[in-house]
Amino acid sequence: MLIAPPLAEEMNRSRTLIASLARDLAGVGFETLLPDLTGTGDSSGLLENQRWQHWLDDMSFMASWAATHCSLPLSVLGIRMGGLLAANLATETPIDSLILWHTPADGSTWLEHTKRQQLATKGRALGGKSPPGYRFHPALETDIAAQKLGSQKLATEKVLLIDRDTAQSAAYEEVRQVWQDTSSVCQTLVVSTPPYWALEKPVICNPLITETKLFLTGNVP
Amino acid sequence: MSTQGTLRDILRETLDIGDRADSLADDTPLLGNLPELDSMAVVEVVAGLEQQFGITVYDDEVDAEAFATFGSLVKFVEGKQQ
Repeated sequence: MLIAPPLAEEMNRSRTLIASLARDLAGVGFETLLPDLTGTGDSSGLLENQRWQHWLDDMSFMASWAATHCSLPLSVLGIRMGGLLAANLATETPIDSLILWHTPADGSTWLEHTKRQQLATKGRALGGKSPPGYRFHPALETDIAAQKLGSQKLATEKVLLIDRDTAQSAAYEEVRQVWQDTSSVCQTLVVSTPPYWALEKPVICNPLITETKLFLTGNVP
Repeated sequence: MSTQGTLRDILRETLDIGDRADSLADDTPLLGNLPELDSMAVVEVVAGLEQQFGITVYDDEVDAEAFATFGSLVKFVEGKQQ
């Protein structure tokens, strides 16, 4: 399973949960790939030079690499904004299962939240909408704001959108109806968990891992 | 459920603080006291307030005053509901 990771600090805060998921999936025969996108983590490049297309290219590269190095079929888990990268990958590569964890239906919503983080940090907006401590190129912010779930023509058998509450239920239902036309199964699911991507202490969300594993192994929730 | 009760649950679930939510009193400091409540967690709490209470929180309202104590946060929510 290939993971499209969250962005910025959300990635750091999600790592423990992702590792826990990967160990669990290994127990049922899945290899998990977790890339550091260009300009993030241990990968080369500067974050402030990155554009959305660079990260789309990263995911395409990872999918090709997986096709030659790992056992098929390929499933993809997109976490938070990684879900929008994953959905795009699913338009160009046949994917067995696409699972999205807590992905904003609209990229501009995520940017509004990062702007709020700036306000909560400094008491004022710092200009731009980069997450505090990270510097996005203004063009990347524009790219992110333009991302919308549902605009992608998926080539995916099974799709599962998971959220932690019903805040996005109406938006997710619209997306589900669009994607149901091209996928044999497209489901939405609310699994009550803490927002692991926003909490500094590691959070293990066993129900989230369980539902993901069930979906991947063919037991549709 | 009362505003206090709902707010307690929002903090419990969003910050993953379990039973510690039950001991939050009006004068319990939040910002600077709860280690879980940093800028990223504050944004999630605000999203939870908006969803649970059906209120809209504006950017200039996301500040230290509302989040100073549990009591101040209750007052903030009650003020938005009127």
